[in-house]
Amino acid sequence: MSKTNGTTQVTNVERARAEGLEKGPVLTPAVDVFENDDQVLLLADLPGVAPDGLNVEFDKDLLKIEARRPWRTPDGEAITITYRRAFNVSPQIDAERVSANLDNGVLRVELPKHAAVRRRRIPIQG
Amino acid sequence: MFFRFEDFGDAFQLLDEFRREANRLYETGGLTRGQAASRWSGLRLEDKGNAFVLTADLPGVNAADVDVTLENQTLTLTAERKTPTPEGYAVHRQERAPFRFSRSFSLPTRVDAEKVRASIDDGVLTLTLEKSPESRPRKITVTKA
Repeated sequence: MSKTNGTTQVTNVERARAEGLEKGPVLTPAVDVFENDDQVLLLADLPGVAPDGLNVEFDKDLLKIEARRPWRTPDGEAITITYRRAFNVSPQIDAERVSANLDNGVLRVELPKHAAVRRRRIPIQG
Repeated sequence: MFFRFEDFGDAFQLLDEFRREANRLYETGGLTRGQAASRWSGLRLEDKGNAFVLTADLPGVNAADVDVTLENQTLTLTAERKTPTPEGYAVHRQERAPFRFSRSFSLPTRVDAEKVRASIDDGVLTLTLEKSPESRPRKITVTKA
């Protein structure tokens, strides 16, 4: 708990600082989060984001998504729209197997559960 | 049992909710999810001199789900996206709105119907409509009488 709080504070400060200095708006992308027995599935709308403008990080139980989109204002000024969102995820995710791909402006992150915590059907004997 | 899967940081979570709601109201003009579906507005139409350029945010929409028609000077854009729950999954959050809309634009000048280009890249539709030669801006040289 204390470890999580420590991380939270530092990251929030960085985040607030970053938001103050960046030129251009910071938007919160819409996401869908689904779960089945094997994994958690996250989908996020990131229109106009190219694969090299996307950063997805998974550290312990924190999933961070940050994406940059080049944008031109009606005045012709070049700015960057930042899409940013972070989630606390249950620590039972197998970090080694987390995968992400970006297709047609939609980010798809698959977070497989550790084999030990997956739901299993117990055969009844007798 | 559901996994914990929450927006990160309590204070910022509230701020995020507020911001998302503000974005939504801005994008939908205060309509609810169902109403907004028919009035999607992530669109811009620009006059670039020799051409009109229309861009629309359509994340997750395939080329097959977009229909563009041009009749005289009226451009009609129709698009649909569905955001179904994948089979066998439970839902934690569902914010990505489905939509289906059709919008028409009256272009102020004639465009060359043969040279309309449309493409979807990274979830953004770009339509380039070249103006007819007689509608393009022309530079008039002023001479001394």
